[in-house]
Amino acid sequence: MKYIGFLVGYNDPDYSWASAGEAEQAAEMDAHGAFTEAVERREDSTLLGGEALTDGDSATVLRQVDGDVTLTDGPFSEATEGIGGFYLLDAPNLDVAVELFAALTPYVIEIRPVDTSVS
Amino acid sequence: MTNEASAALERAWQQEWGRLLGLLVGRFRDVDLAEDSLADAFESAARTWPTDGVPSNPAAWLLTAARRRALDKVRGAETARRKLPLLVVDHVREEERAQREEVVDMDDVGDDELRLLFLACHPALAPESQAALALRLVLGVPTAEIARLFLVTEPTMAARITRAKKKIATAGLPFTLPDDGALAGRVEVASQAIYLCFTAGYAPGFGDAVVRADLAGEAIRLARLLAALLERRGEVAPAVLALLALMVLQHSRRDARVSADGELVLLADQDRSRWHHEEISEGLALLAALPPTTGRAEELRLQARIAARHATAVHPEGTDWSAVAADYVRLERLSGSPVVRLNRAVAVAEADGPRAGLALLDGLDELLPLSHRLPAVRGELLARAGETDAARRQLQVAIDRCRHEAELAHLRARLATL
Repeated sequence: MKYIGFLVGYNDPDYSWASAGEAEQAAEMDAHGAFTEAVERREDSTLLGGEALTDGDSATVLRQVDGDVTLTDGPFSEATEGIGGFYLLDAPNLDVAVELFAALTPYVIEIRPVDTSVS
Repeated sequence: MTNEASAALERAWQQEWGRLLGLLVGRFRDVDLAEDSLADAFESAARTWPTDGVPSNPAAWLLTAARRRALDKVRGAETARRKLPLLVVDHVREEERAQREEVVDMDDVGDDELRLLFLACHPALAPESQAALALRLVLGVPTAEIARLFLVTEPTMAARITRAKKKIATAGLPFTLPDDGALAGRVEVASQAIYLCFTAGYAPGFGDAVVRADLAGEAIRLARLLAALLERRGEVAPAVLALLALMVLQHSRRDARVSADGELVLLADQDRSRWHHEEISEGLALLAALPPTTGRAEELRLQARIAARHATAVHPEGTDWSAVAADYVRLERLSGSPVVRLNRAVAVAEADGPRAGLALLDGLDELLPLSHRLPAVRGELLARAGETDAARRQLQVAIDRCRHEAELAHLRARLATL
């Protein structure tokens, strides 16, 4: 199954990348390395993609009503403002996905299965 | 239906539902399909057993009928419309299952039953859904009955169960046994769901029933099953055994807790001959086999010990309240719970007098702002200390907060004596 993991925030609410020191930033990056290695170690799982995202200030929301395109500045909701990045993972089941995403120790992660019924 | 047939059917439902459903879920990887097919098999048994006689192996008969029904459904149009993905099972198991297709060794399916219990009590599901699903999938309790047990309407419970089953399929919750490293955590989650069933049955928050013994009894069945399945695999689960001991000991008092007119009877006033003494013996034996441990298992063990101290006192005056209070001290240290502090205050008041108990209630108000038990206990202890006016005020606060009819009746009666 395909799972997307949204990094929706930090487990430590006082932490932020911008205010973190070099050592803290290095530790955060190490977690991504640990995650990638954990996925590579498992034969039944594959990392399909993943990106870091710019913050919500640079977000644009596109809406269409009767063919008219309108754009609004900023993220769709408070929750998306917090999404710092995502990974797309192929894993046999939720337990494996949880085990692997747990390597990303700094983050609160929302795990959503990809809906295969629409593709 | 003949008595023999209906008794055999009832027994099969009581004893085999979880094992049969576990086998079917493992084979067909679809909880709804497995449940529907098994229910159809039971219906078919209800039609045919009275005339054809009860088969020599009722479980095998039901399994064969359910499998045939499931295969029909898989081949038929019904599954063409299915939207949910199949359940994830491990491949090794699938091969084993295929080979087992013709062999019906009912003693060999404990692992499938355990998988079913862990699936129902998966931590990705909401705790109240876990408890409901465990009753439904493992014990075969119908939705209407689960709704009644949890004091919600049937549509509410049906929606809760449907949502949980949909998540099982769409989120890919596996029908597997947790790895050794994850097992302890999963046992813990399952124990909590079972305890939730028990407490919901034992101390309903509102309504007029003092004890809904049937729900508490079902929780005990689940705990027995979990303990037996783990033991079968050679796993030591002290928390499950301590939970079982606690529930068995508490539950042994159920008949004495309610008077003939449905009123709550306090521990001290209970007719102790109405306690189920064979259950007390079982609880004591379970407890005796458990050495002191740590964490949650130790909390449960201490609670069971306290229940045992009450259960073994022939008269209320014979209760070793100092020992009970000492157990509460350790329990409070472990749990940090204000409710434990409240109970400790009651024990200390019995051992050392009402003033000693009252002193322990200081500071609890902000931690238990809505509790009716805190002013009820304080009122009782003030009354015993001779401070009647203050006692009346506290009991009135308790009455204003309490939503449980039987307890309300008790509080009003106590207030009237002051």
